[in-house]
Amino acid sequence: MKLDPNTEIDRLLLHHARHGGAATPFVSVAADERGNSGGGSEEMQAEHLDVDEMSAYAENALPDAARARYISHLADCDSCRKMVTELVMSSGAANALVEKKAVLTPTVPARSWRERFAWLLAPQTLRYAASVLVLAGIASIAFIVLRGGRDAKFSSQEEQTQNSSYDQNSNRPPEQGVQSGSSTTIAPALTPQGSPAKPDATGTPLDAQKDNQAQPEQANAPKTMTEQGPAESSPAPVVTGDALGGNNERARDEDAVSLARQQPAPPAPSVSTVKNEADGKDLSGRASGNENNMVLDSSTSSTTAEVAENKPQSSAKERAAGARAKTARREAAPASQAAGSEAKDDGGEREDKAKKAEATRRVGGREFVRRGGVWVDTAYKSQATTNVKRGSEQYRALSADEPGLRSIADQLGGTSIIIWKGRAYKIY
Amino acid sequence: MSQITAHTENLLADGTARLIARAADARSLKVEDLTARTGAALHKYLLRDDPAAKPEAVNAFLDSLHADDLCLIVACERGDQTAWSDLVERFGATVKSAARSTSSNEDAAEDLAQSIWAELHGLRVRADGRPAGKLAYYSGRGSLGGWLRAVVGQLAVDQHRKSARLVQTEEDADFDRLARASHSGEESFSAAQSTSNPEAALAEQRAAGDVETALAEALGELAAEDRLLVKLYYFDGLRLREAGAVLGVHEATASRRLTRLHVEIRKGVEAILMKRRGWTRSEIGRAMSEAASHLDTDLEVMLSDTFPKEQRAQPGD
Repeated sequence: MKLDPNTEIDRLLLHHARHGGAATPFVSVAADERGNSGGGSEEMQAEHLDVDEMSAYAENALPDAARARYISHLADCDSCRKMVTELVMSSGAANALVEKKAVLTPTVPARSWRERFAWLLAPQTLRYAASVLVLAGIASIAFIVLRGGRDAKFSSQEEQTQNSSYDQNSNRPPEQGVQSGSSTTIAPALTPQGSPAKPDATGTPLDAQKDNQAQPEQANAPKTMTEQGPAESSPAPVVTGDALGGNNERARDEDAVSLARQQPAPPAPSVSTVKNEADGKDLSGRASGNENNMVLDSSTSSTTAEVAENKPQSSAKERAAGARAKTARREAAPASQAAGSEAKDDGGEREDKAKKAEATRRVGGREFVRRGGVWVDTAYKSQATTNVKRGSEQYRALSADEPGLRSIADQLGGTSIIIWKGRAYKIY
Repeated sequence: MSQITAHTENLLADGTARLIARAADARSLKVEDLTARTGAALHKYLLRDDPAAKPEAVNAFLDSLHADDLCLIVACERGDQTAWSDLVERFGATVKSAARSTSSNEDAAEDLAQSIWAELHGLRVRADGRPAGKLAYYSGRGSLGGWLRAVVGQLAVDQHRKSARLVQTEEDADFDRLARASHSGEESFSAAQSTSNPEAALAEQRAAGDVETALAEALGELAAEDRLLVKLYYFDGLRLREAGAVLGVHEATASRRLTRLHVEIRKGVEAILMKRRGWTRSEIGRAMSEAASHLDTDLEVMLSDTFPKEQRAQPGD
């Protein structure tokens, strides 16, 4: 099996370290006043790091030139390197390191374009790139699916609206129909005074009465409607973008269906009645125009009898639609407020949960609660604490003795009271 | 005295005065009491590598010395009993902890800790009548706690050496090293000898030996910091995180450096083999691949529990 180049070198280096490059395991016993580790050539012995240099190196407290000099020695002296390594580990320097940009020594040559290209095609690089691409693909698919679902929902709502208006128009007899698909035709008839129309000889108000009776039952109505007059009508798209809008749509559709069922062929009303109703519609339209965005163009109203036959019905429906819309707006406002307060309640509950989650933590198999800015071990029973300040010698000694305790304190951060081996420690 | 030296002397005096001012407890020390110590540190860590160091560098160096720790140590050296008491009180736990980490049992740790204080105080007496202890070697560059831990570690190593049964002289060590080097190309690639074709096996073995030699040479050509990383990771068996800590870099940085080093070492090996042995690139690639593959087998066998320990040190049969 062919190994990749990096693995080959890794294996060879490992083998070389075990067999070919091992330094002398034992060194001379003598140790002078300077505490030299001894061993090796005379020159190396003279250059051995003393304890002051080792401790300064371990704490990264050296000027660059001196540090470079010691690194050169440590690379070749096993004993000094071992001592320094132990000092570095005991000082906990590894935990304090943050990732910084590597400062390469000046002797490192710049990479050629071929090397960079080879690096790009290296298996490790491709592996990382492949995983990033996969994650990006999954995220984009999820986004598209979610968005598609939302769009489908809106489009289905619009389709229902349009279907209802289409049904409405298709049920009207052709000779009556100047109307085109108008979703506003579901509005029940109203006189200018808003009261149900009285029956007249035409019988039309009977339908209006029925519509008026249906009106109070309507809890929802479109918030916005556009209407361009009895002769022409346009669909009133309802885009509320919330559940109420959907409910309004369904309610209006139901009205359309019920109204379609209730529609007999209305007899032609008298001209005076038509005129009154047209005026009423006009007035009602004006009265509710600002709220419902209804635009009634009385100039477009037809005075022909044929149109007049259709007008009462459509105008009544339009008025009813406008009134319903007004009612729906009034009802929608408190409903939206309720929804908002509901959302606020949910947010408040979530906040409470988050606060509770923040107030307790589980670290190192122990549970801690937050009290007054201090993480307190639940096993703490108000006994006396040993106060240890971070960075102090006491803390260092404690960290060396009890690395588990230090790990817990580091994870908690800030001030914490930890019960460790039967004693209470306050780390601050 | 040259102009530069006089200027540095002035900087030294000013820096020492600032150090005393910085200390929370200067212990009644004066500038002249500390100048010798700060001057020695300045020379040891800065002027030795950069005799013409800029004043800013000199001032920055002096201002980064641990003032309180240095004043404490100098006061101890001058026989200040209060300072000694403070030293034992503040750093007793540190010394005990360090002793415990280098000792096998509590008694040994206690003995070691006591030895430390004796070493610090010094059993010998200097010409001026003051004890000659290790305190004189604290420069204030690192913290006193870290210095004490280093002293404890050093003393533990010295004690271990004194009590060790087997002691090897320098000459014997050289012979051993030579013997290992001569067998390094043969003993480890024993798997190659198991093939049916002895000539091919011999050729493979020699090629592997050449690769090994070229590898050692390539390692010697690395920059010091890179060589140190290789030593820490491969020879000392440290994890990348630990090796990075010794180098003063984050684990991720160490990992990136190691990856770069693999490429660099490989190039070095190729260059040496092409130049010294006249190999072609394909021959080098094949030889390295075969050597690494055989090592894979050898390592698995060697790391298994059933492989006798004695056979690992013997040349291949």
